[in-house]
Amino acid sequence: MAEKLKAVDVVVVGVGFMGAIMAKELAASGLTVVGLERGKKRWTVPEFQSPDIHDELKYSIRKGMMQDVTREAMTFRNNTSQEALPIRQWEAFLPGTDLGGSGVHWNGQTFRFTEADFVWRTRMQERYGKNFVDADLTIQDWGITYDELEAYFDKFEHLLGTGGKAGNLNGKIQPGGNPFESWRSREYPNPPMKEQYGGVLFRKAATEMGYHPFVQPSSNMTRPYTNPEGLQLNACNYCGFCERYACEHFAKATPQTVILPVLLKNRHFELRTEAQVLRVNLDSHKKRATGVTYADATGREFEQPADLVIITTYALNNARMMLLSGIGKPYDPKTGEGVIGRNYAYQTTGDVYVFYDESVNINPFMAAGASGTLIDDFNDDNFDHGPHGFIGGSYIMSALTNGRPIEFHPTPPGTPEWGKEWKVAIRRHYNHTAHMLTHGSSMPTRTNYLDLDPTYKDAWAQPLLRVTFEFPDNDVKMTQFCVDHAVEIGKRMGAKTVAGYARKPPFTTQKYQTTHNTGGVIMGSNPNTSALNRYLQSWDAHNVFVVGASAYPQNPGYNPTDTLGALAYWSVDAIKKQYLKKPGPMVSA
Amino acid sequence: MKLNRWMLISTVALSIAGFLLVRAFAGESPKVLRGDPRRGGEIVAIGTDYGVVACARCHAFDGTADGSGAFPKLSGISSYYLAKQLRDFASGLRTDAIMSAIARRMKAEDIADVSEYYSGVSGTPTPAPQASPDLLALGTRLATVGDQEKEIQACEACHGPQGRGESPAIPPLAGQYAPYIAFQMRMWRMGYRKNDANQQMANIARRLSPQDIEAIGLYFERLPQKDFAKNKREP
Repeated sequence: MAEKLKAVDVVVVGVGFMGAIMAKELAASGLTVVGLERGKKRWTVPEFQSPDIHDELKYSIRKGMMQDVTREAMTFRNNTSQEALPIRQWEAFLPGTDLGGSGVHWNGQTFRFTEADFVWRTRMQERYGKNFVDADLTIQDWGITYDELEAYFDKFEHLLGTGGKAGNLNGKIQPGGNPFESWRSREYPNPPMKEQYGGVLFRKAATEMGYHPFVQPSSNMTRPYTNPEGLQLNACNYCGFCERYACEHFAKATPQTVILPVLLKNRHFELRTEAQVLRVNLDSHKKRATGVTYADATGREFEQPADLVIITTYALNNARMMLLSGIGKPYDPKTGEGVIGRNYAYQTTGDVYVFYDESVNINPFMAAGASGTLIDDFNDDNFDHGPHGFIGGSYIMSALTNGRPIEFHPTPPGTPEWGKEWKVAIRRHYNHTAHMLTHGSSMPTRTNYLDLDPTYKDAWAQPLLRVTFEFPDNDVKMTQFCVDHAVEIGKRMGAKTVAGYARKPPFTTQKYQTTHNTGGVIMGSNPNTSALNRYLQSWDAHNVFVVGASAYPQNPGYNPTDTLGALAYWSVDAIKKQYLKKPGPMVSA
Repeated sequence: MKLNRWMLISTVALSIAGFLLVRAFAGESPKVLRGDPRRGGEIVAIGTDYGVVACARCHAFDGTADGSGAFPKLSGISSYYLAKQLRDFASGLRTDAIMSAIARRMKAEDIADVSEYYSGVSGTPTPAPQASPDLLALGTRLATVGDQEKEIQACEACHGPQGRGESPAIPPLAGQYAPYIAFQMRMWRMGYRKNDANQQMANIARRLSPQDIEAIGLYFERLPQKDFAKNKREP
């Protein structure tokens, strides 16, 4: 029997980036807020200091910062005819755990989604006609527009201290920036990162080919920065240990560096770590949450009553929390009905390796998580898809985020995968290989979805999340198209050998791609096809808000975090300005 | 890249000695003059007839300086770092009552030669300073762990384990005189010194108390000054 605790105004489930933002804003408005984090506390000092933090075996290979699969795994299958099996080691994507969540080990790549992305279905039909989009794709509009979110993008980027060059200031295209981006109201808070040498070679080739290269917006600091919360960050020194690691220099925007210290000083906020939330509790009508039940590190269960429940775990875990709590109708792929688990999407990436002779030194180890140079010419709706028969796109980026010895050993096609020849080849190519990433969109289908696994359970005897996913034909075509263009750029870069690898089915959990899982608890304007309204408020239980990339109806070709932060600020603003004054559905169903 | 610098410079005239292209980052690819340590040694010993004072007067032949702590040890610091400091003294980016005037008189090859010389010499161990256990504990914590409240990382995150430096751009601190380290930290803190990348040091020094600064200096001076020159990497 769970011990019932004293009621609070707000309980936040998961204290990562979004949890910290929601909790900070609500605690600052005077509400009592409890943050429940399943993992442990950790700070830049002492936990993230070197030399330990540069232990590649511990963090990159053994996934030292990720969700513990021995206690809480997920199961995976490519389609409903298969039996899903638990993922025993993270590879394809890397859900973080502990205080700060995945916001600690991210790369700092900070892209806004575009005007088109938020009205994707409307835009595709208007531009290409009703029959152009593959009928299997369940793309939707978001129920919100870019213009409404712009101020919140701006707020989040200033919290992070993002460095970049605006490409579109209030509608006016700016030299040096991304001409395809949607308008922004002011410049980035910091200047762009320094380019890597591979980026310089890419920029030259891309410019010659008539494309529009620019430096990637980055939340690795390009100079000392004090954010609007009063927290100070140091400049990045390009050590090449961002993704899968924490930053020892206070140079990467993470919850620990940009918001948590302020949150924890607020007397209205209480952080409880090693608190595994088991479910959101509902009243007898199932229309209102009464709080949550969680287990502490010893397994003792507690009921924490609250007026407002905000779910801010990792995207996939958000969907699982809704399913475990029975909020919203689970999605059924046979009928296409139901909302929780619907429109699960991923990211469709490709790789191109550019092998130079030994006179060209790339120095891959001098890098940051977001120090790439890229073009957006083949991303989003930035080009005419009419002749190509697919929707979506990818950015093509010269990107090496590291030259770490265990992970980085590019070899040209035809090289044996082990033995002496392989060793000779990695020595030959280590410092003479540039890399291009195609980072592309992922469109939802009727058959890609999330539900609870019927067989496998976690350490608390609750069903694991089951992921059913295969790359849609649309995305396979899209990524091949983008990789082909990247290979052309690679040839122009003056290399001896260029090798392109477009992602092909079947999707496998055993090859790293990105951690950008989206959907499952999507936002929209119709309660029959979305779980949340435009304020990230549950259609089914009005005092439950679900903040995360789980809200994306489909995943554009950009990294998700910037849009996530914008949505969090947008949502919490609506809670403060509207919901608290008159608790109830903010959009009538 | 392993170039035999002795072979490179043995007989050729200095002006055509060695030029290496540093391709660290785009837009930052200065040509580095590879110095002649033998000629550097001459300048260290007797100076030049155009007013460059013999370096050894203050820094000693082996770079150990005079033990007072007013002048830094130079032995085993990368030639890249030493040359950058001399160029910064000359340009005014870094200022010092004594060094600014001397550096302004140095020609580019003098800077390269002297830097090459000091990067290759081994210093003499000096006695460890007295320090209270409390102060040493504070210095050890700041240098190896950092401080969460002050939002500063461990000094050794950049200056290397045991203060060995991250050659060539970041200098070793092991064995360096505590009064010199503390003096420089105060210079950073007060804004008189600002010749590093991104004001990193000023940003950190501003958050340190006078006691922190003293403690950090004592921690590093007590570390053995290894022969950093032996495994020094050149750009």
